[in-house]
Amino acid sequence: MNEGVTAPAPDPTALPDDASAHRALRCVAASHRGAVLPVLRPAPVAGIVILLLFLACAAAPGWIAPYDQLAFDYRALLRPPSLAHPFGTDNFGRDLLSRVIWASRVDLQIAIFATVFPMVFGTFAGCLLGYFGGIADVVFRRLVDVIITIPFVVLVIAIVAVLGPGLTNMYIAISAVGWIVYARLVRAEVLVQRRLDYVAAGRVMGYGAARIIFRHLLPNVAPPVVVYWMSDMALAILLGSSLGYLGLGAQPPTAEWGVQIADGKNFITTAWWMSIFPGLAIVLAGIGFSLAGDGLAVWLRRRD
Amino acid sequence: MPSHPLTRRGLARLALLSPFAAATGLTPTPAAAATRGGTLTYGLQTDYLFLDPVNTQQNADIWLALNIYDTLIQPTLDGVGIQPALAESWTVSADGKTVTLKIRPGVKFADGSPLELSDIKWSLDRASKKETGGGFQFLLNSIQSVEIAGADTVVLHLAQPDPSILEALATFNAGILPEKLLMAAAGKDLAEKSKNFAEHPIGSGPFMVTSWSRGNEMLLSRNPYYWASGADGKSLPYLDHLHMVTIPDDATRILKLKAGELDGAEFVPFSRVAELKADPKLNMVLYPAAQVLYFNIFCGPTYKDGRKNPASDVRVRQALNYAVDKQALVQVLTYGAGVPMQSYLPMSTPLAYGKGEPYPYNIAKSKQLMEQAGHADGFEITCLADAGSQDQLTRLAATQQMWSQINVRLKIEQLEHAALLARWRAADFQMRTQLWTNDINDPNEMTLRLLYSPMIQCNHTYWRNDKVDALFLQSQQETDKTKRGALYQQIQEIYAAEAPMIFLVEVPYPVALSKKVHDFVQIPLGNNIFVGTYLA
Amino acid sequence: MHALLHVGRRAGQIAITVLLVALLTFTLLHMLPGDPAVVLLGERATEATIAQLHHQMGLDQPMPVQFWRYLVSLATLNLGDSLTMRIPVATLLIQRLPVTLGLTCYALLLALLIAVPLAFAAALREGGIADTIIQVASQIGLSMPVFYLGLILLITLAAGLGWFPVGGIGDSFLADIRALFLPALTLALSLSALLMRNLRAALVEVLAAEFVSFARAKGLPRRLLLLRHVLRNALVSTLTLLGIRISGLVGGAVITETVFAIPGVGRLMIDSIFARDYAVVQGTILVIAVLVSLVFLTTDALQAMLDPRVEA
Repeated sequence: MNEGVTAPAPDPTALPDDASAHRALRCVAASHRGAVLPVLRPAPVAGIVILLLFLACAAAPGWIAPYDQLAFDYRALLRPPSLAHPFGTDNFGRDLLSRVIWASRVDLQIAIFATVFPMVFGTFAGCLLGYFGGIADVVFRRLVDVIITIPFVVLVIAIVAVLGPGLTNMYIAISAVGWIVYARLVRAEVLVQRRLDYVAAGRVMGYGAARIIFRHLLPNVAPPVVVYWMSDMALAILLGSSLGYLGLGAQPPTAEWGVQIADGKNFITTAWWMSIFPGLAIVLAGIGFSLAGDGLAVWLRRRD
Repeated sequence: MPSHPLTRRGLARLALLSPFAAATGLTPTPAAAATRGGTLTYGLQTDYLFLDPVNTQQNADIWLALNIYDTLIQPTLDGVGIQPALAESWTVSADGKTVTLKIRPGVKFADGSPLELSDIKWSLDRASKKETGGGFQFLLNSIQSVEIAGADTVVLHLAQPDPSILEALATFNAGILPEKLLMAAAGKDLAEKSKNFAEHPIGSGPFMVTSWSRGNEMLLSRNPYYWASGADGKSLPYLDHLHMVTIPDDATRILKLKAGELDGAEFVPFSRVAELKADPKLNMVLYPAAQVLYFNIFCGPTYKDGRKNPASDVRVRQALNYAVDKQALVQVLTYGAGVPMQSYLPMSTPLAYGKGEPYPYNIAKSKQLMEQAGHADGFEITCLADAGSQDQLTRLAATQQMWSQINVRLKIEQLEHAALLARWRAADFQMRTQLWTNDINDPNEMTLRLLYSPMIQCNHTYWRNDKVDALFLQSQQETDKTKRGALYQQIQEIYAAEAPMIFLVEVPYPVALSKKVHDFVQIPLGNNIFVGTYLA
Repeated sequence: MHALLHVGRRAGQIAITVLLVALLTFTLLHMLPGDPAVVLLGERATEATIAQLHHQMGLDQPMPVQFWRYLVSLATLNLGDSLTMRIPVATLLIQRLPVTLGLTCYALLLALLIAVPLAFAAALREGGIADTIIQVASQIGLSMPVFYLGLILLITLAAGLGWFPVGGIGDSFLADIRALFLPALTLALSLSALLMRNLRAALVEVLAAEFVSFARAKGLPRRLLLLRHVLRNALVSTLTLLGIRISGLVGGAVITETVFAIPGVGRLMIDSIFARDYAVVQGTILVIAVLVSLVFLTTDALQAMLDPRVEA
């Protein structure tokens, strides 16, 4: 997915001077300066804690949630936050804390399912395109030209409209466009790496293209991809909840943060808690991914 | 006609028909203190699309039409009767095949040109001919010819007696347009001319369109030549301008109203009615509406995927009806102001027949019927809903709960409106939620679509009843009101017993107005009537 | 001469891109289930009325014929008529496009106004308290869904405090500035967070780079130094980022316009997708594609001007 994050620009200067083939083969391209946050030492830890919190909610919502997320209670409609209902209740009397907890399962699922395919396929495609070039590469560059001129949200909405609303179709729609970002990122990286000595050395040593790509190029392009993937997951939650907000994502009675915000919109002046808490969950999850991603980037750079 | 939202944000359509609904403008003569002048800013959910009443398609356009185009006869403001408009009086011949109308003299279109009898003949000819009459032509289908008989008289010759011809003349598509202006519009044929004319529509109604920014706002100004006078003896309307602003998002529209940026807002979500009622600056009005909300059930023997359809068994449909607690739905959906349906027709429709709920909530009976039908273990049924419509979700979520008691698992499949309509029309659905609003003050329009199988397979349910088909055809020519009423009673009894729908609730139009707005009314057919509205 | 050739080549590329965008949107749109005629007619659609509307809309022609007609009319710069509103798409765009362009530029301006000072403040004292606070704020800004932020601003600053009108646009330039402030801010916030982080990182890097130390050693005044070297270098990466983000900004406008009831092309596009108004969706996406391509062209050119190392 592309909204919001720049593809880290390949930075040849970050490569080691000594380019003996074997050392270079293990080297990691630390070329993700845009996403680095070296200031907050405790930040990555905080990010990981936040993510673990959400992961726990997603893994066992039934254990953590105080109420049945689907149970109506007509005696407790639109209750403001209280000890019994820390996040209040909605217009069916459902406990919002429980729904926010259950929703974390759906939203984390969105974060993963909407990004794993684009990452894997895009990385693979990017390696091949960057290494071999040729007609496929020309076609790809045209495709990129076309795709980047159309707002991502619009494209995804159009595809979801073709396939029908729902989570699965949303994953398909996001993946159909999202892989291009990864492919573009990896392709650019491979173009740089290809010219470096270690690849030449690999060739000299008589390695096949497959071996050079998978054993040598891939490990070198992987770190920026993984760092980008972290922020992409946060973006996937934003996009997924936006689609949910528009009624095109998760389907009720499934709780999803974006859907919950939409549910609460009509009550915003009288029952603010219906929209505010799910929104905070989105923000918190986004921060979690972002901090953890920054920490990962720093760690990867240090490892060199 | 249907008022499912064109925009998916169209929520809040279910409302409640309160018998005590405070309609502010029911008295046609406003207080003598009516002030003149000013601009009323009104928040719409959907912008207008096409303002030629014959070729118009959507509710918003229909509901505005009477402000721009006069009809020969008008619906009364309480929606139950008809009153003179361009025609001062009329008579129907004994054989029911001739309608003689005496036309008001001296009426002018908003551009100052006189309204001629030839305009009336031309307009009605166009609206009643199959080739030119658009989607509502069937309402005027009985008109065989229109004759100008003397200086102030128009005679309609009907092919057969038509019990609803006067009501049809009071419906928007029978509006009178200036023939010369429309034919002078650019375009190579009538359709193109109509299109270009509708950009700058001119009629003899109280208002005319001054400017229009699509999807955004429309400014209407008073027609200085309008024929009717107000309480002060001067010509109506009181308002100088109507400023219609399109704000599809319900929440935003209401925020704007509360901030005083709008004087009125339509389609208030029911969930907010209580809040707005409590606002001292606002008048929250629930206008009685000829509007019903129900679930459509596919009744064919098998679904599109070949599976057997449990709901093809009438006992199952009855059981599903019994298992819905309509009183509770009235509470959950309309916060107490609606009423359960008694017939498929809104009870304000002439000849509507009902003796209380056809299927009062009764789980025991429901279970018994399910068992008889061999479905004691229940089944799964999927209902289509418009993606993003909170109202539809609310009603389905409540039904989901209720049906779980008879082991029926209701699944909700949200689709975008366009895709939903496509599935429905292809009969590729098990259930869908639907809202019907009458356009004519007669039971025929709704009956034609929901019960008369040759039309659209009874609302695409593939339910059919030969007796109902025959009774309907008979009723269409029966001019004796009592006899027609008897036919309609039979039709409604058969339909209720067969239950091709889940009877839910009748819902009003929820409109919130600033306290300074007086004598605005939305009549049960939905038409917004601004002619007597004033600000004070 | 070289420059002219270059511009010509880029124009050719844009033309090809636009043609492909046309093909892609046409294909995608006609794969959509549902039918504009049925959407318009709604519950009361009958075979006869649908056929009649199809004929009026030109949808009764075979698909390749429709596409060919579309290309032919495009060649004469005719975007066709809206299927639902029955007016030329160009007329609609003339009404709507300035609104979205205004909103986007406004957001861009706000984003820069927020991001540039904060980036400097953060970068000059790297690791300080200000830096930490700014970093945390930017994390929040990046994670905030546009529709959520819009809703909050709307109920607090507009509906609650009455500082701004609730949605819509004004009727004069000044009124527009006021009316569009909240939507522009909504759009600007995540962009400014991104810009800030990017600019800050670039500044930190540039400040640490040798030539700055060298210049400092030469005794150039600090302010001049920042202006001449740092800003110039940092701007290059910021420009790149803005170029990449521009279609994202338009995408954000889609949702912002919905929340704030702004009659721009974003809302037009979404409404038209839902109404299956093919002509409007195609026309809008095409025009946006052209505009975005032009923005790319401009940012490329600016980059070349600012950074001689980049080949024009």
